[in-house]
Amino acid sequence: MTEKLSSGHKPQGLPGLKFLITIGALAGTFSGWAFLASRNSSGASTSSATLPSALSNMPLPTLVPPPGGVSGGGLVSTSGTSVPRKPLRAVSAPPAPVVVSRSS
Amino acid sequence: MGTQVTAVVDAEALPSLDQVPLWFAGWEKTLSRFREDGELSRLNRTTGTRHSVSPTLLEVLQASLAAAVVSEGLVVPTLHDAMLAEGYDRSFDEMIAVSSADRKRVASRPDGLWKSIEVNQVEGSVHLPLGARLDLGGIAKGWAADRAARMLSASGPALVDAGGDISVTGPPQDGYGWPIGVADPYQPGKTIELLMVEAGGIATSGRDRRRWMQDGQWKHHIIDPRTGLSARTDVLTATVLAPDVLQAEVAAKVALILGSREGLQWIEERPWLAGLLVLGNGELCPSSRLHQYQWSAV
Repeated sequence: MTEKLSSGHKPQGLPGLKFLITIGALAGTFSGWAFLASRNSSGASTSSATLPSALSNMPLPTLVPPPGGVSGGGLVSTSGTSVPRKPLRAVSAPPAPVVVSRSS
Repeated sequence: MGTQVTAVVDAEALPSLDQVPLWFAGWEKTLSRFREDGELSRLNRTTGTRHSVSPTLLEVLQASLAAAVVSEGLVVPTLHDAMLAEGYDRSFDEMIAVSSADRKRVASRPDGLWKSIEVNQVEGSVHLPLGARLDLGGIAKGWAADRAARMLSASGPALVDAGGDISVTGPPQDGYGWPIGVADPYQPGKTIELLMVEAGGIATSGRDRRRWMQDGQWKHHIIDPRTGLSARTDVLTATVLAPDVLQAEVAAKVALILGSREGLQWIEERPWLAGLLVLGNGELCPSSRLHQYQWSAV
């Protein structure tokens, strides 16, 4: 009776594939995860507003060529079997509950 | 078991889930007092004699006796007749259609009978003292959730919800907890809390459901063994997190029966528990450790 209940309260990362069955009725479990993934991708977008004049008059940064032997331009996969990174889960919105504890 | 069951497994490959409904159907037939052809009903017809029982019934009965010890007699398996006397004499769906005048009246009695139950684990037999008929109720539900979750966990972290009694075997593959809501008893379909649980159990006990009118008074299914009557308490629902769902089930029932002041104290005295009480006046009473499980933005 002294075992400590483990917990977590910083939800991040997308869970693996989940399989759900309901006896009697189906519960909408996946919608929350899908919503969170959607939020994350949209949250990465940037504004295209016009720069203030004070900033637009600043000199452009100098481009420094990469060291010899290193090619620039974009991310390069180092393995033909690389696994895509999971998107981070948004942390500003609570996840939808998988289930709800209630009296019955 | 007169309730909805949900099972979730976090796995890369589809586990075999088609057996799960069969597990619950089998357990219901063994453990429900409403199944006249079931094993528990047969056992209840043999009080006063020794009777061989299945390993499942033996295990759940032992769990219910352990619950009686842990709860100091507040959660006991021998409330069958008290339930009947209060009017809970058939499955709740059937009760709704029956007037109180048609219900059987059976004399209830103060409880202590559970201490006289004899269990022989070697022989697989049980001796119920005369009049000690069993209702395994929430303990059976919690046991089933726990057992199903553990059986499913061979495929990956699993969660099983048996009518609000929830067993979690481990965190999802993202390494964080399962988001689990706590129902708002005042607004059906809404939640009042979101908990993140990696492993353990959650249970809610309440007098907001399974209640009925008898002789002009509201009755509910949480019987106080000290009186043999529906518990008179200021707590409407009690939700408890514990290392496993059986402990959560027992603690939630104890907190409800004791009432908010003593119930919260009972939870606080056990550092492996956290709880949330919703009172009849709408007030929320969280235990001091609940914040460890509440969802929060990073």
